[in-house]
Formats: sequence, C-alpha cells, structure tokens
Amino acid sequence: MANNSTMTIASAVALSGVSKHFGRVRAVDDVTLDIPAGGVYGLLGPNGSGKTTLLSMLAGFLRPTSGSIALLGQSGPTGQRDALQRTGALIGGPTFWPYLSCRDNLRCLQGTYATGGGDAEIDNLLATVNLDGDAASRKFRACSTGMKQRLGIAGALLGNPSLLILDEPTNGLDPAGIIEVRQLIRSLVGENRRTIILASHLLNEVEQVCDRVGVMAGGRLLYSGPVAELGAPAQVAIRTTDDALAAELLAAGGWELTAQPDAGLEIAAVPGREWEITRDLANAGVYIAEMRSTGGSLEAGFMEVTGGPERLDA
Amino acid sequence: MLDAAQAVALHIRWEWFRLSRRPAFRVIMGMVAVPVILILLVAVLVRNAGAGYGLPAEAFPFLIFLALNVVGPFLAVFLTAIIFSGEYGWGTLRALLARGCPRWQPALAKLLLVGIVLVVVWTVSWALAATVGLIAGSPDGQLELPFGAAEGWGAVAARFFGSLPAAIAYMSLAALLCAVSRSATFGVIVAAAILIAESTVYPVAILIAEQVYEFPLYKYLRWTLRGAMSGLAGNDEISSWHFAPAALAYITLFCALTLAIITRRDVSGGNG
Repeated sequence: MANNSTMTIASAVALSGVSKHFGRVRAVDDVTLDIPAGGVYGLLGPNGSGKTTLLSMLAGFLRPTSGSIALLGQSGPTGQRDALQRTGALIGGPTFWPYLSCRDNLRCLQGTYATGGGDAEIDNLLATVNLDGDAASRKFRACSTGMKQRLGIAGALLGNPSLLILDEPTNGLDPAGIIEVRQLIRSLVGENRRTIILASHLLNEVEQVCDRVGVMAGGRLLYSGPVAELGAPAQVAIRTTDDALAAELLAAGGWELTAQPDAGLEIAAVPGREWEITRDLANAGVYIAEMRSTGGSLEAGFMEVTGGPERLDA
Repeated sequence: MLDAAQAVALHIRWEWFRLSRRPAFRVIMGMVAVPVILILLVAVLVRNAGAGYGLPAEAFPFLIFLALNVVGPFLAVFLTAIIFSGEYGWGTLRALLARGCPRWQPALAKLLLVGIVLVVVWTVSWALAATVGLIAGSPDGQLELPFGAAEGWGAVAARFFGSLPAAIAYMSLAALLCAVSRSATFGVIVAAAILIAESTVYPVAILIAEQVYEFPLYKYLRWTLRGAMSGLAGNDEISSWHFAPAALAYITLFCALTLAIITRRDVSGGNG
C-alpha cells in the first residue's frame, strides 16, 4: 500500500447530504460535513444518534441510501476504494480471531491488507499499544478488554493510514487504560498530521482529545466546528433575598443579565470578577442565598445544541 | 483481472493460515482420517482371514469411495460452516472487508479454499487407498463388494472422483445458506437437514411410487441436486458424465448467489 500520509489534502472527509435508512428508521439523516485534514475530529452524540452508522459508511461497511462521500480527496467507487486502503478503522469494538495470538492476528490482517511492513511494523505497533512481550503471544480470547481494545487500535494502524476512524475506543477500559488510550490518540496525530475521527458519547473525552467536534442526535448533525466554540458562554446563577432589587442593582452596575428564571438570576460571567457581584449586592443590603457557575463547558454547549435531555430522550 | 486474481490468492493464503490453526478444523480432518485408515486396516486384515477372502487392489479405493460418498457432503458442509462461522459470529468479516477490499474477494477465497481442501482430501485418500491396495491387494481376490463394485482402476477412479463434485455442491449450498441467514449455525443445520432428508426421503418415495403406483419417480428426481450428484458418482443407469452439466450448474448457481448476497449486503454490527 502506498504511504500517502504526507499528501496534502484540504478535507480528510467530505460528506454531502448523506443519509442511511434502515427501513423506516433514518439512522443518518442528510448529513453534510467537512472534516479538515490533520487533527482529531470528535463525533459526539448520545447512544443511537447515528455516530456508528456514519462511521460505518465512511469505512465502507455500509452504503449510504443517498448522498456522496469523499475520503482523502477521493470520491466514487474506485476513488473511495483507494482512499479506504489508506484508512484504518476500529468500529463497533475490536474484532479478531479468538484462537490466534495478538501477533498472529496482526500478521493475518497485514497479509490480507497487503500493507507490507513485515514483522518490524507488527513489533512496532505492538509496542505502541503496550502489547509487546508476553502479551503479544497471548490468544485474543484470553486478552482483557483493555488489551483487546488496544489490539483493535493496532490493527487500525496497520499500514500507517492517513485517516483513522475510532468508534468509542475507550469503551470498557479502566481509568488508567482510558488515559493511556487518549494519550495514544493525541500522539498519533503528531505523526504525519494524520486525521483521526473519534466517536464518543463521553464529553470529557472529546474535550480533552479533539480539536474539532461534530454533534449528532437523531441521525442529524447539529453542530460541527471547533470544540472551544461549542461551549456555551459562562454564566453565574444566583438566588438572593430580593431578586427584583438585585436585578435592578446589577443592571445599573453594568452587569449583563442573560435570563431571569422564576427564582434567581443569571448573569454573564466575567472571569475573576464574580466577587464584585457579592460586594455590590451586599452594599445595597441584598444578600446572596445561592451562587453557582453554569455554562462555559462542553456539556452545556452540547445540551444547548441538542436541546437538552428532554429532546434527546424524545 | 490479474490484480483481482492475486488478491484472491492472497486471501486464500491467509484464510489457510487461519483455518489450519483452528482446532475445529483439525478435529474434522481427524474424523475423516480415522475412518479412512480404519477401513483400509480392516481391508488389509481381511486378507489374512483365509484363502479367497483377499480384495483386489482397486477394491481398496472403492471402499474409501463408499465412505466418502456418504461422509463427503457432510464434511463439506461442516468445513463451510467453520470457514464462514467465525466471520459472522466474531464479526471478523468487518476486519476482512476493511481497507476497501471488494466483498466478493474473501468470500470467493473461502469457497475456493474449502474446494481445495476437499480436492486434497479426495486425492490423499485415493493415493493412500491405492498404495495400500497395490501393496496388500490380492490379484485373485474374490470377496464380493456390495452396491455394484466398479471393475478396473479406471471405473473405480471415475466413481471415486465422481463423488467429489457432490461434496463441492453441498459446500456451495451451505455457503449460500450461511450468507442468506448470516449464521453459520443456521447454514450447517439446514444443509445437513437437507442432506439427511434427501438420503432418507428420496429412496422411500421412489420405492413407494414404484411399488404402489408403478410410477418411475426416480426419473424425475434424477435432476435434483441429490439425483444429479448421485448420478455423477455412478449410481444411475445413465452414464455419469451426463450429470456433469447439472452438477456444474448447481455449483455455479449456489456460488454465484452466495457471492452476490455477500457483495450486495451491508456489513452490519457484530454479526457481519
């Protein structure tokens, strides 16, 4: 397989109006998406939002009902096939032959994919995912969940692909394993500016690992852009002894009231100046009963984009 | 075309890498080897039972033919189940089809590999039986074999290798059932049930039709899968070569449908 990881491509993935229907179920509905080459793109969404279906279409396992897909700048059946030769995927959990050792599983895939690289590549990959030594000779069925997941990542990395698709790679891992895999994912980007698409329903995972994020719910793509821009503006929510007077005082003091819920106030926060709210109100004889920060996190942004838990449950 | 052939050859190579390491494959091969060796052993021992009990040399492979004729299709079905079961059960079909691999390539490689294994089983069995026969056979052996033994090496060889396409046909039927159901368990159970039903229902139905209704049902069952395969193995009054086109048509149809289904279908979730 040609190593085209240094090829300069503007878009690693370009989807145009892609839908996938299973009978009446619209698993993916009219998704148009452009993922720039290089970096980690997070695909965020609750279970059943269509993430895995979308990734399966990218990996060529599912055919879209409608729309077009361009991978690594190539589209059409032949182009997509060429691009898929430079695409590693771990979707729906690691799948290997249980009676073969970790090393033999990789050898088998390497031989089948004809990626070349030989034993040196396999040794290198096993070391990269911490499966060298005795672990390499362990049968897949005897591996722990974490080992299986890491072997799945190693399998996806065979042939040094330019595009890596990882579907919930930290599923079933213990906390130490999760940290390890996240660090591994970040380190993989550094090599040759590889593009990694990471699907997850873990907000903190996406926040820590990804540069850009797409949010899916109900099969639709609701947001796509930098992670930093998804987070809603930080706010301070307060309840006071006299909310009406507090609202007047804060407005007069130049504070921006973003909402006035039934009980309490929400104020656009200015980092480092929250204490001034306490001072201004206390000076006027209004005392704060409760004060907390809201928004400003990916979680808040995600909830805003998806319409909150009620809409996700619908 | 050449690239595709090379790709299929590569798939066959790595398919063999996996199959040869599967415990179930070794067990099945052992289950074939043991009866073959036992039959030959008994045939050799009969030679010492007394004057006139020895078998002529070509009777040794003929005895193995009788066994393979019955066991062969089951062997083919089980081998097919083994070679397809992992990919559906473990979800490894996705691993095989990653990197833009055309879906028909690994499927064709599987079919070809089972076919190759069957050819090897038949060839090795023939070579073993013929060798033992040449060493231990009695030129004046008079022991009569049942089921209308073929006379002469040529006739024995024709019947022996005429039973191979039957195994290949049932292999392709089992593969089709696996592909349709995406379940090797379903494929092997249904294929084995068809085999058993054919070998038990057909003779009874033919007998009843002839004895009760004086109707030559066998003439109409002749071109069914079982009938054609049986005819190809020399078990019909018509020359076995007449059944070759029918056998080829069955094998081609089953294999083509299998490849078409695997190629057209999405590879979903864990069950391929």
